[in-house]
Amino acid sequence: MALITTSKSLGWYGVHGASDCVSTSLPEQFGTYASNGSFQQGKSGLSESQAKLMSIWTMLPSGSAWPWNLSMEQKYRNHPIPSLRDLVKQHDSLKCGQMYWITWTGSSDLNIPGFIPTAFGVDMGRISD
Amino acid sequence: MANIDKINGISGFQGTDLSCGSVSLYGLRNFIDKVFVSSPNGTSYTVQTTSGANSPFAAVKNFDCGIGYIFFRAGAESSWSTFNIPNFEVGNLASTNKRCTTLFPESFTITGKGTFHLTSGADPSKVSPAWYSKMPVYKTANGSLSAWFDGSVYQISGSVGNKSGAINNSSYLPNAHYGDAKSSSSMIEISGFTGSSAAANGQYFEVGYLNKQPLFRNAKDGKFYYFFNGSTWVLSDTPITVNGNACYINGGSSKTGALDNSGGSNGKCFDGQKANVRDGAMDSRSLAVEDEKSLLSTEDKLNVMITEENL
Repeated sequence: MALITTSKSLGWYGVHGASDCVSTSLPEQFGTYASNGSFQQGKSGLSESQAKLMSIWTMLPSGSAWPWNLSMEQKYRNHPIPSLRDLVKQHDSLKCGQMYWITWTGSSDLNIPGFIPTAFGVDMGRISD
Repeated sequence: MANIDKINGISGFQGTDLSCGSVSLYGLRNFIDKVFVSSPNGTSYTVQTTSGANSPFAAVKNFDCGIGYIFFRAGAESSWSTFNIPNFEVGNLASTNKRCTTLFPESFTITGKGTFHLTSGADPSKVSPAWYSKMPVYKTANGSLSAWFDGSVYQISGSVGNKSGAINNSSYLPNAHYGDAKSSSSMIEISGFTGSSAAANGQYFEVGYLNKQPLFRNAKDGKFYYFFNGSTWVLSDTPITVNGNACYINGGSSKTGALDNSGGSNGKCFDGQKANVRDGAMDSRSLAVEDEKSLLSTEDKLNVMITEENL
């Protein structure tokens, strides 16, 4: 697993390993909201206030940057208008073979297995089939 | 290579298993406006305009190997055209299903110290830069110990940059043995190279995976890689490829055995060389027990146990 310890991180999700990469559902991992508005804690165990300190961004196929965070979950996950519900569904998992950048201002480390953070000046790997 | 479509924002990673090289940002100024890359300080992104990337003061001059980038197109949308970035893999959503072969381990265990995990850097409020010595920083899940590069070798201590109570592994890699504190990572040993090729001798530890087999990296200085290309094991001075200017020597279909370029046609730059690869975790002498009562086992259960009587 990779521990996100910094407030900004840009990296690749999905590594070659002994076992194959699997997608990670962000609501399942970090939390979401039920239709009655109550917070549903994710597998990470982050509290609502801690989980709100995280945004995971990706670049959509259209070339627009798009975030996943608890605010998006709260606003759109159970929205009565289907097209608005789709807003949060277009990016609500970490998919193998994609780049993500993470903003995290929580006090503890964020555990994201299969995420390979990168930084300027550090040769972390190569991408292949 | 990646053909960049006519969209505004692109994220991606420089370097594939086929090849990798730096690509000038200035040379792409007609296509790209700005490039973002994670700063080693862990708290910001370094932003570079491509038009200014030829300045001696430019922070980022190239797309460099093994690094993730975000960039945005230059000019009006009507002027955008498709262009190519050699060795770049686009990571926009749904673009690819490809995986990263890491050149440093994702995690490893050191006997008596614990399991260390790759991090996005040390705590930026305590250490600068967070990517200490521009190398990956590792820590145990409870945060009690960190493994960090001091500019020469990896150290394990209670806090990054502080050698009080530290142990080091005399290695470029974080997961080599720390003296008697052994690494859990699989290991091989290569011996037999001579002359200018002797630098390729030594211990190699697993740092990643490729073609469903471990990728091993030279522990001393990290400059040689031993990997499976799908049919043959290869030793190369270039990460996971023999393309370009790589110096390499081919082995066989088995991880262990001979690397033989004595005829000069089984590699490049290793002319006349012959070496042997053995599994570092299976040195038969290290497995021998004096009283023959200890229960010994090898990873593949195929190696013969040698006891004192046999030696």
